[in-house]
Amino acid sequence: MLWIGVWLQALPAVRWEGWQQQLSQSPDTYHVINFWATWCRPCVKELPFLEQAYQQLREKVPVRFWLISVDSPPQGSRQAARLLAQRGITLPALWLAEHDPNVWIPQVSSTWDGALPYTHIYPLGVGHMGGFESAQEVVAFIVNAIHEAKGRPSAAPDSVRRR
Amino acid sequence: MRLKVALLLLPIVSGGVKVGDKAPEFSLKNVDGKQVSLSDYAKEKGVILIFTCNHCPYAKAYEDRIIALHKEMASKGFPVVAINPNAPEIEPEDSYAEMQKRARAKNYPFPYLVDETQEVARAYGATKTPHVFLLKNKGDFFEVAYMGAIDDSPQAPNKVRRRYVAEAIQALLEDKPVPLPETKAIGCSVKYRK
Repeated sequence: MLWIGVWLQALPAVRWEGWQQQLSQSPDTYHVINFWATWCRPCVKELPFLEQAYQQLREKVPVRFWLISVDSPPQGSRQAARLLAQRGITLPALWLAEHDPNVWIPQVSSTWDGALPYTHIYPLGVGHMGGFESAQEVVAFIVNAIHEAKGRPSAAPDSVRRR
Repeated sequence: MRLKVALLLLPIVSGGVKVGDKAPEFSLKNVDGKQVSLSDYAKEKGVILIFTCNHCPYAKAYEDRIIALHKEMASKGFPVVAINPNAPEIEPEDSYAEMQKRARAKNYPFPYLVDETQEVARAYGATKTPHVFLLKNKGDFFEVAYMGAIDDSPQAPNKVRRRYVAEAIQALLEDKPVPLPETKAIGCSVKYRK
């Protein structure tokens, strides 16, 4: 039973391309995707800011937040799940099952250089490298990106462009 | 409009080299207290410059592979030079004293230099650890021939399929173009002072 309990704590594993295709099925939503790891100090520091920013934005903007752990197998996924539970982070969390960063990082973004943490807004293709220092910074990043997207019709989902 | 977003989102690092650029000169303190300069390597075919550190799990995962890379490549004219760019007030595990301990514990066969002012890391545009810049000796200067990852498997040394740095060196030794001059590497962000 203990084994099952531990097993249940692991995060769902995803491959980037397949998962991104799932996101593309909800084109009216902005997906704020945060790449992090348990041992990454600025990553862990910004988790509550991301959580707070989501609570502030959820009623105003069609937005979803995702935490994607890049912790190492075999223990990483469980360590990540445990840390999120301990810190009361409720944002949906996944574990990235990828091999070569030179393959999967360019699939995420052409501008991300691979340093953690990194936060990406799909489908805007806008990214933030480095940690956020406050929930306000997270909100400003997202709101600015959406405003900029309104001036770039091809990339902005219709629901927001019309507002 | 796009430009404005890009500017707002630029990381703290400014500058940095590209493949084909002249490699910036440096002179930094080694863990043995002596200064090491890029120009000290004028007789080598090149230098494997690696920004790395103590604290980062990716850097730790690569320690043994970096030692092996040096042992394999130094005899071919491409020794490793490691540089720790992190501010120790942000990551205490990356202090000079801790670097000395790690170098001793792992018996590093290459210099492990401290970039106290972070100017060298900024000049190269190092953004993470580990971050490799393979430098080719062009006679009176070094040129950046490759930058990015050491190999394709940051987490599992036993699952390496592509040895990017080794492949680049092999090409240089054969006087051929580097097949992949730039790769994306994952790593811990360099802890720059604001």
